[in-house]
Amino acid sequence: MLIRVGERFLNKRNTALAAAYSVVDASLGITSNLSLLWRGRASVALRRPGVPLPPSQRFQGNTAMRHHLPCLLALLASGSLHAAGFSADQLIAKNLEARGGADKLRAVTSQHVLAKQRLGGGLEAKTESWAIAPGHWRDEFSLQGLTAVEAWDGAQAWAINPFEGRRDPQKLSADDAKDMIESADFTGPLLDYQAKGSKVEYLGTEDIDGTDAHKLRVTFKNGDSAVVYLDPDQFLEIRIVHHRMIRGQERVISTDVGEYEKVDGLYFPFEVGNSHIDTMTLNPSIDDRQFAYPVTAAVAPGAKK
Amino acid sequence: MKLTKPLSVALLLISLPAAAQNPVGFDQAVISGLGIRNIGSATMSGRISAVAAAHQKNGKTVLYVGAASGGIWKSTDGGTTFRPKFDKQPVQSIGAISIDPNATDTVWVGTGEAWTRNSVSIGDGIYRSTDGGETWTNMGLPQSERIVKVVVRPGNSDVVLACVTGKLWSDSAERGVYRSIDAGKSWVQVLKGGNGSTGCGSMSVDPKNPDTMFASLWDFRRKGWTFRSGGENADAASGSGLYRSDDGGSHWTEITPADNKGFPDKPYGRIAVAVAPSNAQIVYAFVESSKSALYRSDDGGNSWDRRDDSQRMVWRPFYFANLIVDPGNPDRVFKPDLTLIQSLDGGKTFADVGGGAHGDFHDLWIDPSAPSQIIAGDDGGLWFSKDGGNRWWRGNNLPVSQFYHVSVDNDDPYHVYGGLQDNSSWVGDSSYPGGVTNSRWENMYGGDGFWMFADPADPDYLYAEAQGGNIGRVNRKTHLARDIQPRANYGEKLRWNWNTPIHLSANEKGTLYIGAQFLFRSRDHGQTWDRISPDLTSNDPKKQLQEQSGGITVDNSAAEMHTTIYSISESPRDGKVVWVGTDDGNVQVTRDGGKSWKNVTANAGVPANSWVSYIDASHFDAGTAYVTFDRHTFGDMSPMVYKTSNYGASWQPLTAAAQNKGMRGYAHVVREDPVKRGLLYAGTELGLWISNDDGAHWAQFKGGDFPAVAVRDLAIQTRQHDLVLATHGRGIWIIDDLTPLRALTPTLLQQEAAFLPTRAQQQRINAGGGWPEGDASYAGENASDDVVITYYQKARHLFGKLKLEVLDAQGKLIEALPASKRRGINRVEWSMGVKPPLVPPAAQLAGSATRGPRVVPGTYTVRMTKGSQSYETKIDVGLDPRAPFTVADRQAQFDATMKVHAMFGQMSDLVARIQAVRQGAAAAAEKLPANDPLRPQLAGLSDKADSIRKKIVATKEGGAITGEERLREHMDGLYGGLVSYEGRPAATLIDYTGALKRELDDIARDFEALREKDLAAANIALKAKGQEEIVLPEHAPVAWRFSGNPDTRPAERD
Repeated sequence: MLIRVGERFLNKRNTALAAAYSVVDASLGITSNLSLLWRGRASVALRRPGVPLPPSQRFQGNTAMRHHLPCLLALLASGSLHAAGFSADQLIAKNLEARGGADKLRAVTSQHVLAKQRLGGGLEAKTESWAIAPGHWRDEFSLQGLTAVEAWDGAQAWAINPFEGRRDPQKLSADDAKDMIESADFTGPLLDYQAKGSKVEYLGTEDIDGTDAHKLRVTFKNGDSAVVYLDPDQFLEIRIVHHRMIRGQERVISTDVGEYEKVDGLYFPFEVGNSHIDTMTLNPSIDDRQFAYPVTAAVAPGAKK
Repeated sequence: MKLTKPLSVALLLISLPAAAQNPVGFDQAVISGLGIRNIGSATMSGRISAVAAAHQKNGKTVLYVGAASGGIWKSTDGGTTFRPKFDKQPVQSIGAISIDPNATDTVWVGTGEAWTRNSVSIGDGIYRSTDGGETWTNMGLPQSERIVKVVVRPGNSDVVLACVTGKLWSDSAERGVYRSIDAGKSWVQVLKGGNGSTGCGSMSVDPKNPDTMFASLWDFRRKGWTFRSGGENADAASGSGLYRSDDGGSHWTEITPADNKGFPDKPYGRIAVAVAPSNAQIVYAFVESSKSALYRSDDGGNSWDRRDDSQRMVWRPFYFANLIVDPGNPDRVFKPDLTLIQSLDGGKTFADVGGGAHGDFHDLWIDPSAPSQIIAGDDGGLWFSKDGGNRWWRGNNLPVSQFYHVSVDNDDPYHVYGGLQDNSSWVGDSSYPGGVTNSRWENMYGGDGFWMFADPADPDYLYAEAQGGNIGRVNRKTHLARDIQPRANYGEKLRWNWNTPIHLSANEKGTLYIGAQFLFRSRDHGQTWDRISPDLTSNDPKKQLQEQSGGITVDNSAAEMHTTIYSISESPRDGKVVWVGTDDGNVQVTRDGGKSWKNVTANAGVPANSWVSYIDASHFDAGTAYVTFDRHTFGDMSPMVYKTSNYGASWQPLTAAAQNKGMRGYAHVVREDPVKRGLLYAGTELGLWISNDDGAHWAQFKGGDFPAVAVRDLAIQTRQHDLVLATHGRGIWIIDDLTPLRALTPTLLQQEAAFLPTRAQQQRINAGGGWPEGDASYAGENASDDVVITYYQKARHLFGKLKLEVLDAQGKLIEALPASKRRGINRVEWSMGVKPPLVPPAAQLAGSATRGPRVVPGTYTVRMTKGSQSYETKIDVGLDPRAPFTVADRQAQFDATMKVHAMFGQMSDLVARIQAVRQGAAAAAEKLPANDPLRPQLAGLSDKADSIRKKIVATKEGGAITGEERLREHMDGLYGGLVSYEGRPAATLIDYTGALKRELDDIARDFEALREKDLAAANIALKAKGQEEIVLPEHAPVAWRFSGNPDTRPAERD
């Protein structure tokens, strides 16, 4: 699994640490990108794994590839018979059963997750997310007492990025909302995929770091897709590769998942990309006002708080 | 698979333990976790054999590039970035790419390049993808070996035509034009040659009336010592011809001089044909014959007019047989050639439009919506013209370089040396700050490149060679090159292989060998040579007729030179023992430094005249050698790896045609591990295989993204224990640190989990580098600068935590690492950094304080907890030998940094208390009546506290460069200075630490005064009113490492 691990550390080298170094230089170009270090943590697929990016690209390459931890969790939750003797629906049934059962999964309507995201060099950020299926999502990323927010209320995505002194919310483009929209479906795209308007194909098996994994492709209503790799013995997800069209270009984001834990009788991976989940609560009561774009006075540049 | 959680019985019943695949447990999954990295380069890139592009319905342009032996690369941004799309397929040689005109997500690929030079690779049929190259299905024609054109019928995606060139080295039946009417489920041969060596050479279909098509049949054959395009010579009978069909390929009519006025007389060699897409009456055909020329028909092929026959038009027809007509202008024609040539007058005249491109073009695409935009592929990679094909931009992002050989030096980081097909000889860095970018490779010689070595006796020089043994000694600074090739004696001709072997003695620094039919040795940097053998080849005169090679057009480029020495290996145990292999089947050995030679081939029992492609004399025993034989030039693609332990008296096949043991592809190289006896590495045309039982079993290495590419040579860097791969199609790859592989004993493989030994761990200099090169540039991956922890697991870890912790000498936890979970070898990197300091919240991030200093070199413990089992290992971390400081200096830097680290902590505690005052005052005031006189007192207390806070942290907001600096920001600057240089800190920084400590103490004193006076007074007043006193915390909350401070929550929370 060197490459996957390498990718994590690649991110470290290319983002967090590089950012830390660059801030010493107080270079606008670099520091302005620093705030993006919480985005696209698992997003390495645009470049070949392990290929260092030049300094200014280290962030920009990933700007639109926000990675939500629970977005991937969400995926963990979709024909014809293939040579291996499985159909997509059979594999999905096995997956849902392995995860605790479709009915139990359907019964989960909200989720709260607390996690740590490793940024390399011992640096960790706290992340927290709230979701109400199917259309509400909010996640936060905190470092040095500064907390960035992004959210989707079913209609508009927005973000607050305080790392350079701004605390007023900014609206996000429809493409930049895609991962949040997928994240809000936190029991995953395999569950009831037909009802969601998705299609699933079984693409046979593929070697994933020494495991001959079953490969399913979920194609969403909007044409984006996610390739889900299932462990051949346990039928749980071990890797998810997102393919999203962002401003007309495909972004590919690959994330490994593992260390499954049971929560209320359902299995979830607690190791997701370079994040580790500390606690997960299913069906918590969540105030849905926090998903909406906040009405707030803009703070003028340089204003004293 | 260990089941730690209950699952249904049904699931258990169908589980298939992956480890059952190989009884010895040394299999692909186990070894591939070693990982591998590619260092490129895209500087020289490599031969591009096919280019296809289309405008999609959404307005995007999709571009597919087929590498001669490096797979398929797709771009949807005009070539700015590429993704390899064929890496999971069993072959990497691309002959043709065709995008379905009816559905641009459907792509057909004919594998096996049909530009049939001596070094060409092989394919295994025709492939289809219906999802833009994400997944592929082999749709048949498995024996085709090479396919030059595929056409999907406009209007009917089920109808596909394949121009199957067929096997190069042997007769075969599967050649000619094939048609499928069911999207590849079945194929029918619709045009067939008259003999077993004739296949399809070119094909073109009228896009408007796809029933009309032309195809050429081509009679060709390559042998180790000769090549023919057409018959044996310009007058001999040939199966080549040009054919037309008017019914979609069901029936074909030959174009002949008798029936088709103006068409040239037979015999023919290769014919390239192209129908003008905008006017199907106009057809171009380049015909190789004794009077090769371009012909044009203006009546759909009925009659022909002879056009251009200039030097470039008729140049090397076997290698350049492609015509591309402008989609809108029937008079504009390109012929990819030694350079690119273009006609604007319907083929009457052609001009060189190759500009500054590399040359040896093979395919191009003209944008139909903007015909001045052209994308072309040649032996040097991919090129873009914006001016209709006059001047060219280079593609810098396709790492498809075709190395023949590789060597390494002992610098730190070491350099990699090697030569490439038509792309000279290069030196590159194995690692470099910022990555092994294109600019980290330097061209050192010329021509086609092959063996290349640093001169171990003089680091200012290196040896490189061009084809035919043209060895030079090159000054690596001035690039002054000196021709040192041995010369013939009177009346004699030396025979130098295209890929002439050079070998360095492992016993005598500076002693160098090169082989023609004789073996030469030099001990003075090549100024003089001793001829130390007789002719070691068969010296078969029938295989020395290269001046007649080529068939219709003579082609004697040194590529067919035969009866030559092809491999040399001096025993590392005994410099007098030298092994030599020839291209015509001899293994010869001397045990007395060349005085006497013994031909030991017969004992091996391999078929006569097999190429002896590699000899690796054993590191452990002078009588032992490993040899690869290669019979692909006879049409036998089996891997053949042999071993002798008694100077060739007897041989043992480790893989052979009858028993390939899972190895695929003809063998180019075998290397014995220099440390562990019986650990072998073998490179074939289709990948890398490893054995840990002296060749009894082999496992294919599939680490990382390594594709089934030809591995032509292997080198081991003995200090770093790295395996360096020369691939012919995907550049240089490195497997870092083979130490764990050497430890994989059968006993260990049976354990659930175990730590594996590694090379000595270093705290490498943590340097930055590189610069924005845009997205259209390639950079190779560096070796890790971190500690690499390696362990083995019998099965993938799926349930529950796999804990990996690093402890210091006192047993204190330094870091919990994310564990890798795959089956087999796992590698995890430890950056060695301690936790960053606790920083008080402010308006912006304190960037330097987002990391902790790296630990001081020493011994650390790694503990892995897997279920109920716990495993421990020690790692000794040493200094980077290049570091200009000592461990004591590092300790001083660590201590100084941690002092400021602690000051950040004190500062955070102080801010926490200040905030407690403010929050406490506000909360208390809330509970008081509006006109209570204590309210203004509390407000005053809060304001005073805040004014102290503002001495510590910057508070200006709004997203601009406020430039506001307070103690926190100054301390961050100091911390950055200390943490970023790991030697003994400068006195300036130590003094500054003292200054900032005083400033912090001053502020702390101010706050203590506030606490003792104002806060105490407020608390007395609160107590008097029966209210709770304001209590201050001792420390900042640990949560401040992340968040939790309401003051720093975004505005929406206010």
